[in-house]
Amino acid sequence: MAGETKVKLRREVTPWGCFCWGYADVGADVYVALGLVMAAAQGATPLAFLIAGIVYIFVGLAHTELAAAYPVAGGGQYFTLRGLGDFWGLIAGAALMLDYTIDVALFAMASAGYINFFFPQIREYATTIGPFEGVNLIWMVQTLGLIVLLTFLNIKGIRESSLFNAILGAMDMVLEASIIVIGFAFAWNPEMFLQQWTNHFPSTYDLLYGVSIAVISYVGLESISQAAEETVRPSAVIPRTSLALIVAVVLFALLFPTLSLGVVPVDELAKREGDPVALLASRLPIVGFLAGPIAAVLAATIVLISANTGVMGYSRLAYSMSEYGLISPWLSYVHPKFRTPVRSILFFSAVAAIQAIFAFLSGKAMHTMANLYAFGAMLAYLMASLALIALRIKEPETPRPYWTPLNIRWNGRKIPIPGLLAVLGCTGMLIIVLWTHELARIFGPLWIAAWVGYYLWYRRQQGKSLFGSEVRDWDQQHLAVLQETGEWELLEQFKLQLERKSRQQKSASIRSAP
Amino acid sequence: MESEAKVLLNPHPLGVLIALSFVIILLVTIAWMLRVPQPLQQLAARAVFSVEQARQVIVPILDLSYWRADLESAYYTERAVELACRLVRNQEATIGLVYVVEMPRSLSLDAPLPEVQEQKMREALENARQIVRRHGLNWREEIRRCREADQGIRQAAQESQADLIVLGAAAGDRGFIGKFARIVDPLLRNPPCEVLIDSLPAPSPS
Repeated sequence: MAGETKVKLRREVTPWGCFCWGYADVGADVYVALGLVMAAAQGATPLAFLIAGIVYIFVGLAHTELAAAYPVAGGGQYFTLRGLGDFWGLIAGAALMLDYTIDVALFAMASAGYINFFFPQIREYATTIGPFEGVNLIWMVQTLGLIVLLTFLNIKGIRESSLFNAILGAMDMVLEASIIVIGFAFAWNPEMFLQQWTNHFPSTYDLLYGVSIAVISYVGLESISQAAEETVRPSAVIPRTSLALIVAVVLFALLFPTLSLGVVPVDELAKREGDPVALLASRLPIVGFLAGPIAAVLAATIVLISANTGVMGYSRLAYSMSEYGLISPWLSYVHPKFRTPVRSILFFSAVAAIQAIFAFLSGKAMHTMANLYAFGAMLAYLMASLALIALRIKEPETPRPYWTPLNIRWNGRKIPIPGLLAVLGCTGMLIIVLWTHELARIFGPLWIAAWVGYYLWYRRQQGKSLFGSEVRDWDQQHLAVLQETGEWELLEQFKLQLERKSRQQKSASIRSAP
Repeated sequence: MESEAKVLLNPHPLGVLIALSFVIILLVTIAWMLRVPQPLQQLAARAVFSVEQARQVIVPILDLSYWRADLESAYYTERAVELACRLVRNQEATIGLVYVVEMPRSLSLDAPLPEVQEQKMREALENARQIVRRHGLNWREEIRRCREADQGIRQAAQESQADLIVLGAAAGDRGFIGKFARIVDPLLRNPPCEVLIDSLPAPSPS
């Protein structure tokens, strides 16, 4: 904005903090998704998580390469913008924005719900507001209070909220790992697991529905991409944290349902969509008597840090989108003292709060939000996977600290097979989501259409091309980013590549001259 | 609350194995993640990556037969090929095997070479090819006739946009050193790209 000094986001996220940004999201997603998936996929719940996990691995590898090569805020939206152009960047941004705002609303709500495990009177409270009956006004106020708290933390600065994530992330990982270790070592019964797998195998439709819900367990990588602009030494840290997160997430996502089926009857688990992990924990030996309260505290904290990750995600995403002229630059303002994108945090926290209010009024909050969450995630991942392939073709000279493995040569370019599989997998998942989720079929495309409408209006106001892309000097921008991050290795590689490119162009022009 | 549920210790070997594997995999993964390698400083990074960036490498095979017929050039040029291959074998480089024939001014540049010299050229290129093939690198071959070897090398480097020239030199033969210096001196004074001279020590009297 005119007259305002451009202030950049500061780099203070450490490797553990970066890992926890992702883990916070994923850990909480497992808490929410396990019950929902179990209700649909029943005995085949581990299979549903496995299918979703395979697609996640391909997408994860693509994100790892992109986030390490382009360590700037925006994540999938930025990669898509750079690889496929402004319009598709907007679509990816809209899909991610849907996920982040829902993440904040849903997980703040869930966190308050788990706190209310200790206050049954609040949990049971209901009132009527105009035409809406059975509204839990206190729970709603608690949820809005948590959203305000997270908004404040994120405005105050990434250091505080990253520390918050790092401590709680570590606690939750230890507790989740303890449930798995104690469960498998002392309570897991393989015969029971096989029997439930065989006797409760679902129909194809239910399995696919379960798969489409299971994908919501795998959104954490996007958070690492979003934190890239604030990560210390991103080229070294991001590949490690991303790959470690892929391993950790796949382990937890596969072992929780496997353990559940070997400890608890599937019918009981299916009835406990809200707190399946608490039920599972209560059936463990040694720690079982404390399981209810522990699981409640554990869930309340981890879903809160997931909500915190959501605030961080949408604020950085909005910052990135306004920086690139997709939405108003008013949102990219960074507070001079806290160095955080204060306006985007406030604006989209308000959107999340409105979503939470509507969810409370609707009565089917969990299902509605899980549906839309899956739609947004798959659309964004599809765009990012396409962007990986496009950027391998368009920008082969960009130094990549991490290369997605298994490449085929095409026209002198390396095309990653996992990238192609990610595109196929995400397309398939998107079709499944649209087929099996009635609400996502309607509200998902409507959300995107609303963003496209705003985008077209805004671009027209600015006199910019509606469907074309603005001309940007990506090379200079990339050099500036690498300089600013102190990524000397990437910087020197990139400079040398640019020198080579310039030499080749000069030589080609000399040869073509008459 | 589910605390009233009856729970028995029921360890199963497979369950214990899964729990142990889980702990080990998780700990190893986190330990690997936290061991971030030390960064290079800017000048060190430039040094590392400028070497790593070499994609087109030229190894001139000098044929100075017209200048001195008894000169045996094979060993040190083949060594230069090996050296070049080792330098760039992890970076998908192409080795340009440039056979440089210095033609006397009394002959035209495209004058036919004597059969002995042709045979020598074929052998030299075949030896060089074998070395490059052994390293699994791409290569291209070129025969360049010129009046002055340094000019031939320079042109070959410019046309192929070479990043590096690796030139092998024999030592111990005073006559050759003089001639070689005449080739190398202009290349070093005004290098078309990075130039690496591999000069072998003089053989021991024994």
